[in-house]
Amino acid sequence: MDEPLFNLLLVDPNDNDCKIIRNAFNSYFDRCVISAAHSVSDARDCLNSNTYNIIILNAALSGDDGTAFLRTLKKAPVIAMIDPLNKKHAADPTNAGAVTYVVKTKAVMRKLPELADQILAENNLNYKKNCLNTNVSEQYKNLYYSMEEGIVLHEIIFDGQGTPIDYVIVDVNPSYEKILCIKRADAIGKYAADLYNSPTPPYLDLYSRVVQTGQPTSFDTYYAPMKKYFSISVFKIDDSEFATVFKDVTSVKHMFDQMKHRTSRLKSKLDKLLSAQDSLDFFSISDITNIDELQKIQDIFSQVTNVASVIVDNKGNRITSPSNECQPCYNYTKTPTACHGCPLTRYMLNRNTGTNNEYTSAFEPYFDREEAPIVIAGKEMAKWIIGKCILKHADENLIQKISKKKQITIEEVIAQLTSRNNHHQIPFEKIKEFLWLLAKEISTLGYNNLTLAKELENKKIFEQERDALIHELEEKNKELQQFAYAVSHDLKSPLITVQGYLGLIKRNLNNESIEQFNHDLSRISNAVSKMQMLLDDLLELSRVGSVNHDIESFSLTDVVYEAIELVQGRILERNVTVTVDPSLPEIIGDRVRIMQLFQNLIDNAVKFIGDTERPLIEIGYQEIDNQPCVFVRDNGIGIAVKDQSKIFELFTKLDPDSSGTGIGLTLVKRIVEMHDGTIWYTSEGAGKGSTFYIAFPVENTTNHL
Amino acid sequence: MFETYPRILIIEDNPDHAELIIRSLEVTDYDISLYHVSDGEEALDFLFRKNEYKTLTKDDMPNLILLDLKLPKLDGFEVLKTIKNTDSLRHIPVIVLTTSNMDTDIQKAYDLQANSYLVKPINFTLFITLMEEFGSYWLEHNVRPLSDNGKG
Repeated sequence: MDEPLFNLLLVDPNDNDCKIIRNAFNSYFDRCVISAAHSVSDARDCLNSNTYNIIILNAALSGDDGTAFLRTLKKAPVIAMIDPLNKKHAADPTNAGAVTYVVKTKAVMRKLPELADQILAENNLNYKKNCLNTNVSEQYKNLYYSMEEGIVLHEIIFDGQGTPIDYVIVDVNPSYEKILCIKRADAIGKYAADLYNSPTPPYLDLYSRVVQTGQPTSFDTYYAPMKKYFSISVFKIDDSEFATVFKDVTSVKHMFDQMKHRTSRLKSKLDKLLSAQDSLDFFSISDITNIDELQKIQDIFSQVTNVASVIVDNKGNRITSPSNECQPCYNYTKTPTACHGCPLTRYMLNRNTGTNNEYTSAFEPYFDREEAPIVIAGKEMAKWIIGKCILKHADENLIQKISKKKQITIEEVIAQLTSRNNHHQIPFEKIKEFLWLLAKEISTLGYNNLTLAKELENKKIFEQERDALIHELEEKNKELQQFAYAVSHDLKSPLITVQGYLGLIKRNLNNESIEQFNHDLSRISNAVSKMQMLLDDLLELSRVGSVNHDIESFSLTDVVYEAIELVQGRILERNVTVTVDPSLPEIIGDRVRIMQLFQNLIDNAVKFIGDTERPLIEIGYQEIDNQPCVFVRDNGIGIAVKDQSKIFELFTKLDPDSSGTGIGLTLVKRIVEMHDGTIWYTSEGAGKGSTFYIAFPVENTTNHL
Repeated sequence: MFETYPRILIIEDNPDHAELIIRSLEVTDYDISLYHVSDGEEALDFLFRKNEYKTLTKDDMPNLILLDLKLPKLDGFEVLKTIKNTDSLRHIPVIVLTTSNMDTDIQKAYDLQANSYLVKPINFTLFITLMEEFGSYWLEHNVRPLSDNGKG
């Protein structure tokens, strides 16, 4: 009985509502005292004689008076209730000092105790709740509180005619608070449009349909004011209430969009590459023909035929400078040589340009033009345009116009036109034919060039491939030479030893001591076993690549443990700790060879572990540049930087006193190469340990982590 | 001119071969001093009297060198190059004695100014003969420069 009494002042003239609220509070709080006041003056009386934990006030209470009263309330937090149909004034109470406002609907009124409880809890005031305050089973309650999706209970507000006009948030779960960053206390009792910064209640039509039909629905939507994508399910609770369950799918959506975007970009790129037609777009006329040559041909043509010519590309840009530009019409135009000032050029390049220009149109009847396309591989790459002043019917009006413009007499104009015409024996029609022939010729030439260019390109690729092949062959040849050299040297050495000591024994047969004899014999025997070892190892090396086992998928961890088993004796002898990372990948390859590989690497590491205090070999996994790599690391004697490049060469023994033939690492390298992998070695130098990295191709490796 | 005492430095990594060379030369009648080193670095240490050969004197310097080509640490070509590029050592005849009979090795050895190139024979009798002939030619007939004022 230590918990404080919960004291509530309820100011509302409506008896019915007071009753609902009173019942709600009584069933929620264990020990609850409620004073009800019907008017501001009643409330003042109550406040004078008592203190309250919370005040619930109908803001509609006698208009301004209620608001003015609200301003005077400082001692306890106030929850203001506003009329559901009086949305306009929703912000007023909070401006006047209320903690929050709620829309006064039945469902919201029933939620008031919980809201009051939460507001007071935020001020560290806790009151004992009635355990019987809910009829919802514990299981559902847990679900409601702990599920990842946001859940919102709503109540629809209908106008006088029963049309839904808005809806109010009645309650929300903790996930709602997390997803939308809106506190429960701020959400309860609010208009949806207000709370979500929307001019109209979001999805009201859809929600009221669910309430009217009872048919649940779900939809995905982008909610612009929050810039988020939601997946929302709606279902009806009763005639005015409904619930929504929603999930924020913004990040998923973005990922999806990005993927879609990337896919479409890739697709268009691919389409472009696949379409042969488009590949011509990469070529322009200047790639295929020599523009200087074209210019020369054009100049000569114009000189001979006395027409103006210019060549433009498929976009209409000039690619040659116009020839004979002003000459064919010199008598009439006297324009500057700059082509843009010449009406003929303008007329040639585009019949329509300059039609509004009086100057040009005055001459138009005397101009003629022709264009011949240069077509290469079915595509128009350029156009050769010619133009000429010719005498058509000497329209009197025009002659007058010209004479006026040029300030010469009509006779002079006629004389000039006539005289010009006499100079040109080749009719324009013939010139046109000639032009077409020439353009066709150039087209053929261009096509040949294009084919040649393509052939050259192919040849280049071919040459590159050939060079790469030659290079590879040379490398292999070098390797082979080195191999032959190494074999001859290393195989000959024990032979020389055997023969040498045999010779010594033979020569000293009579006067040699038994000790000397035994010594010589042991030299011979050692050399023979060395020879045996060399031959065995060489045979093994030659088998890699020629004798293949089945390619299978297997766990590298298992294989590494098997390899360790094989060199266990030496590991124990040197007291080496070997650790294996359990996350080694699955590998597709020749299991026997891969085991041989690790057996050699581990054996090698043990052999050169030196006299470290805590000898350690680690076999682990690491991704380097997105490539799965397995490493074998030891804290042994390491290798001097200058010798590191030689270690994979055949018969290279950096330590002449070590046992073995110097084939081990060559074998290792060959096995790795057989699996299309790469192997490399790092060491910070002598005495600093060694690490061998092996990178297998990504497609043959699956990491189950 | 006076006779200098023949001193031969044998640079050979294979201990069996080294012993064979030494024992073959011992059975010849020459009164000689033999030194043996087993890798390229040790050979240069010897010739430059460094590290473990610090205490050697000029009198210990060889007046003939038998050089194997395939050596650990520093190969025979490098040793040859260093000898022939060093004023105080250049005069010492270097006889390459190796298992390799590859053209490229022979060419390279002579390019680096080896004085002679011998291929280790597999037959022992030939080996003895080779060593005897070697001794007879290089120690008896061949006139060596005075090692003390080698460079001149």
